[in-house]
Amino acid sequence: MVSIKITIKGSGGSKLAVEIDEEATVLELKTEIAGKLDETPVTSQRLIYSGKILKDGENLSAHKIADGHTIHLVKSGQKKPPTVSATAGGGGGGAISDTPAVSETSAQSPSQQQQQQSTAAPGVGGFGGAPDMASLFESMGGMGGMGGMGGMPQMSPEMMEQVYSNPMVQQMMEQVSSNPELMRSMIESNPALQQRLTPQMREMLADPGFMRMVTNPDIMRATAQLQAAMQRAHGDSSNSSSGGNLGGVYNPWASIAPGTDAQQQQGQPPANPLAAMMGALGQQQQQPGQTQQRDQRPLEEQYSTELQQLRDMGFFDDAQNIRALQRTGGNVSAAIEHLLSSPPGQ
Amino acid sequence: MALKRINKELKDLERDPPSSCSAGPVGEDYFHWQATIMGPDESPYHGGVYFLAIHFPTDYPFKPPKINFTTKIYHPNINSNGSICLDILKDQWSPALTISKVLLSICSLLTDPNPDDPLVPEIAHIYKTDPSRYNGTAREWNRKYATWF
Repeated sequence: MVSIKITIKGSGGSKLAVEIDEEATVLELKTEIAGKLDETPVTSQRLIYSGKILKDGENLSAHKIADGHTIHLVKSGQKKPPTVSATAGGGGGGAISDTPAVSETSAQSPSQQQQQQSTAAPGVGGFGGAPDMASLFESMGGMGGMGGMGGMPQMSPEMMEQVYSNPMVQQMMEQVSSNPELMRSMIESNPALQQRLTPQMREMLADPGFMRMVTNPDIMRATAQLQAAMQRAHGDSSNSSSGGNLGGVYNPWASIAPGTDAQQQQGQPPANPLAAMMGALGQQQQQPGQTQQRDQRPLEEQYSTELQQLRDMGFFDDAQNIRALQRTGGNVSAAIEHLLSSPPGQ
Repeated sequence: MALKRINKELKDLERDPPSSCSAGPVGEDYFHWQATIMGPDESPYHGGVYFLAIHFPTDYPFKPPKINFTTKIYHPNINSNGSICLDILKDQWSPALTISKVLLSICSLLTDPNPDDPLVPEIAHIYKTDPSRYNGTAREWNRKYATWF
């Protein structure tokens, strides 16, 4: 004899808390409710739980009604208690009479559930198969997509060359460039960035052609080399003076390599608006001008709120989530986009 | 993963279901649910209880659940097979949506049909041109098929 507390929800938002034995019948529950909620007599009460209408003779435990659960009460128009199979002319009756048959068949195969779980797993395991890619990004100082690219300027052109010739990276670049939506959602979800964006910049970003150009690995590689050459020319003393403007040469690379000019300008709005925009992308939650101090906390900690959100949405693989968040610079909706668009086994 | 997510939704629905909807597994198979929607007060479906069948794909929540009415209903966006024309069950599906949210969306579809994207053009036409006739037929069907209990 275990007594459970359940809530009855009536029409129009009325509620009643009932304490009753879990072995009690539906009729006993109705008697308990009668007169207390919406003044509904036992015979016109219809209790609905878990998509089913509860029948008077059934025990609450048979429906797995447990402590803290909620049952709906609706008023029946008819005075006569229902004789379900007989009066059920519509499809609704079909749904109810189907029930026992289905539960019987599935009860015979208790392994069915497990089976389903295991077949579902590979489909969503997703990134599990690409640990090398993740470690590659981590070793690059968190270059998890556009978000982490602030770390790039420290790399030598040779290293960059290596990175860009990596098929995984190329694939990632392609993904970003073929999906302007991803970029846009990343930008739009960043308030700091939004403030800095002028209407013209927005327009540019909305143009897929522009996005393709900015994310084109060849252009990046070329400009990176150019930048490196400029740096060498300037010598070590004026180390990182090759800013976003690069002496008037259009430099798309600067746009994703904001480290140098952000360091230089100490938080003042960088001269190249594009660099500013991408710089903010790179910094994400960090304040402008702090690019140098990369967030040293473990990724789980950095992305704890985002991870929780993803878990709430049903993405339970933290490792996979972190990778997606890294790649999208902590943008939850872009991360989901990414988790969904990646075919299984990648 | 799909099962974990379904289980979580079930736990939430058991404790705090929306006031007009109820849903749960049919038997031991957690990928097959049934649901009820109470006809919204401000609609001709008022007083009716509508049953629906829900089938979760194995890659839920990445793919939308399949939901259809098993109770007959007179509605521009629901056909005689019980199929529902609702964007969030098709291209507008998002993994952030839940059964609870979808059922609530169906509730609002009952209150506010969308005759511009109809599944049954004849009903949509009547809904647009002769609302009182639409209301009358919907009420009649509601009485006949959804208030039998």
